[in-house]
Amino acid sequence: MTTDGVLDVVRDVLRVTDGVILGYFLLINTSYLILIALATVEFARHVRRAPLAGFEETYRSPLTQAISVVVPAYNEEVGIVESVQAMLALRYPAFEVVVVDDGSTDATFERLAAEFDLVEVPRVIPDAVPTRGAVRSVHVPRLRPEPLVVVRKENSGRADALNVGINAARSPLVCMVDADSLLDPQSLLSVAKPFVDDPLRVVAAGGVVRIANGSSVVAGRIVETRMPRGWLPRIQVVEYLRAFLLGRTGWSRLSGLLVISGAFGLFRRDVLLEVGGLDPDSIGEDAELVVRLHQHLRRARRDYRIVFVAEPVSWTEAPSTRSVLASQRRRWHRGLSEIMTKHRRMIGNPRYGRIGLVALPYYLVFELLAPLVELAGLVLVPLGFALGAVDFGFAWRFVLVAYGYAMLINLVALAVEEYTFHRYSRWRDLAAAVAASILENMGYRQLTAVWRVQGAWSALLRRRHEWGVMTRTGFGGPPTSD
Amino acid sequence: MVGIATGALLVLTAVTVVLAAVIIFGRAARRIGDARRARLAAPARRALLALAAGDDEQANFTTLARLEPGVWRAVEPTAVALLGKVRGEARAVLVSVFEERGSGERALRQTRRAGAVRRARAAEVLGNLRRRDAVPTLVALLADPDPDVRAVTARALGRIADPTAVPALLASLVGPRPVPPQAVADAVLRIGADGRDALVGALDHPAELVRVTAVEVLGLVGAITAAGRVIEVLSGDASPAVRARAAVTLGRLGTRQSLGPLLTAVEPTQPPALRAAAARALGDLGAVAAAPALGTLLADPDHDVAHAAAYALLRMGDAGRAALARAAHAAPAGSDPPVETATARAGAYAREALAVAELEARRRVGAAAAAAVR
Repeated sequence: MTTDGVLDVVRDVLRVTDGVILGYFLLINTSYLILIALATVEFARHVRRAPLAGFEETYRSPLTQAISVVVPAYNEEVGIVESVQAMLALRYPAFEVVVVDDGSTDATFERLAAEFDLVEVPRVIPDAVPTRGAVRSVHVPRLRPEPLVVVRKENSGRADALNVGINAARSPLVCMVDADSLLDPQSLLSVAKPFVDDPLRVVAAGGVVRIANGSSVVAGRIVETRMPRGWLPRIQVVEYLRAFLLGRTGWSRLSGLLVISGAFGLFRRDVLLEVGGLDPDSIGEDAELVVRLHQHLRRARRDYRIVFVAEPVSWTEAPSTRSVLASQRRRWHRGLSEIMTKHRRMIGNPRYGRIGLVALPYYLVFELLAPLVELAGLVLVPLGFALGAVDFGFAWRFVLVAYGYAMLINLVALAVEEYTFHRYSRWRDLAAAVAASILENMGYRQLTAVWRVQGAWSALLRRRHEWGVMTRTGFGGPPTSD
Repeated sequence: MVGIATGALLVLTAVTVVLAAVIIFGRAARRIGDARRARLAAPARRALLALAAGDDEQANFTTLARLEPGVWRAVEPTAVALLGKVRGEARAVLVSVFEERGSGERALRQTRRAGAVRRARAAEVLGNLRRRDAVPTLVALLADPDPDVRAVTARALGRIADPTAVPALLASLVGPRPVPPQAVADAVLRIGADGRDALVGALDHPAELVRVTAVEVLGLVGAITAAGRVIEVLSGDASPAVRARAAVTLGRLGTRQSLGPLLTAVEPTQPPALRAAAARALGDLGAVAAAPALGTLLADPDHDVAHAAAYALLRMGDAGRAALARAAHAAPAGSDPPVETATARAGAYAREALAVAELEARRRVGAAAAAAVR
């Protein structure tokens, strides 16, 4: 074959490939738009009905189910005391906070011991869920009446720490919360509402996680929501809004919720025991648990619901440096890859209903493969243009569909936020959010695609898990006048 | 080609500008609306708060009753919130403000209107106003197609506290449009002992959920005269969940006749959840005669049963503590965890309960000392 012949073949291949990539972006962005539309319906309903939720009755009722808030903590000395104080001050009629110190090498336990005057007790922790790290001791406040339990154990990872917490929990509902999460005072009442409304069917409820960087924090509470100062966390605010708040609400409405963030999720303890708790070998243990719950309950032909609650807000500190963000995204995508591999038999399997036929295939095509297609588009479309496989018109269409459409979706997400929860009250925050919506597509998306592909690659090579270190800069202080 | 690109870019820019305008307009409109409502409501709000505080009730009543409709709409959410918080004379005057403004009649009409939120709000208003004449309307609304309307209606019936609504409330637990069990139970609980007969009748209902709810509420309302019937449920109901609730209820009722049936319920042949509930109920009963049986349960292989037995023994005074102390001394402290032999298991649960009791005693002393200093 002559050089021209080879080039013709390359052009033909590029023409087809570039067309497929264009179609892929059109589909993925349209799917976001559909999820946002579904979420908008849900939000509108939620906001209109919020005054009728009956939280006061739930708070006063002797029948409200108790909750064990399980907080795994590993080297969290910086904020653990403030976090636990805020959790103990949550508004809920019956709850305990179970902190599981996962063999911290810093002063996590000592800080707690000093603040709450902890004393060791010979509490029996059953082995209802299998665990790996041995429990060393259990502590409770000596004189203070707070319902706090601190379990010290050998280091064995977050999932195993949560399993120890599930065993130690003495309430029918277990709320898994990250040690660095800040919860809104009403968050337990809100996330427990589906269990109150539909106690026979609801087995798990996820709550919204938002970014706290830049917001004002007093005594472990967000008192004023503000946009972060750096562009990296600002873009993540928009990303969380689109993908987590709106995306998961949309999936919940489709009865296809696959992810409940480890930062804030409420589960029925008996169901957690049935599935054996979290998988300590999974790096994406939160999502893996939800997929396994679906698998278990669908196989048992049980009538159940796993729902996402738009209102309760757990606030978390987002990575503010590229290296920490890279580590986080590699980990997330590696977790997703492992879940898809582990539960591959569920994908496309009608036995698992919407989960098998819609949610898992969607996650495979539009989540797992998305970064690969993103990077392929970045290389192949310019190459096709350079070789004459696609023309200027195609290149423009590609830019508009892949990036312009994505920017519009971000703006639609912002509009939905503005018309429903409107958490960011300052005009300058709104301007920053609009700018971040545009900037997300100019570098951030491409960088995260690289990191996500690296995460999937390490899953493919079955490399050892890297948990990474989240360098915390702490939350903002009280509100200032600026 | 350049024309297509320019056109597409223009369209994108236009849509972006429109979206930005929608966001900005939405925020500006909300702020202006909020400010307007706050301005309108401010004087009326002062009158409302003064009325709630019991100040110059007649003058404030007149002020609120004669407010312009727009101003009332602005202050109404505050008034509704206050209605649920104030008691006595202030509440009666506030209710009369609502009635004077026709809120009750309007709410009655709106229970039949389209719009689930409107119907739910109407039910809430009728409940807040304690409108007994609205009970038949609200009972009908328990079968509303919207689940939130049904839940709000159940709560409203609880506030009105008319015992004639109890059978309908219990029946609403099952069927194609069920009401959340907690909303029903809370409502029947608010109605209180007057609903006793309907609750006892519901113990024979074919649906497990109705029987669970009825037996639970009987305990919470303290229906001691129903203890005999609850004992029958504990012994003979087909559902382990109902029997477990019956055990809890017998613990709450605290009658001596429950002792024998509860001791039977903790036997190893019974379901674990029932045994744990019965062990806790024996603790509530505080009957020393149950101490030997509970002492045996400390070594039970089921964690919930052993744990419940240990804490139940704590509540039996000296006899219970002696049983715990014996179990604790029989097994050396190093044996837990792991808890492998029956003696070691019993010792572990006993030590935990005794340690908790000691801490609670210390806390009581500490609290008393702190109170004395204050």
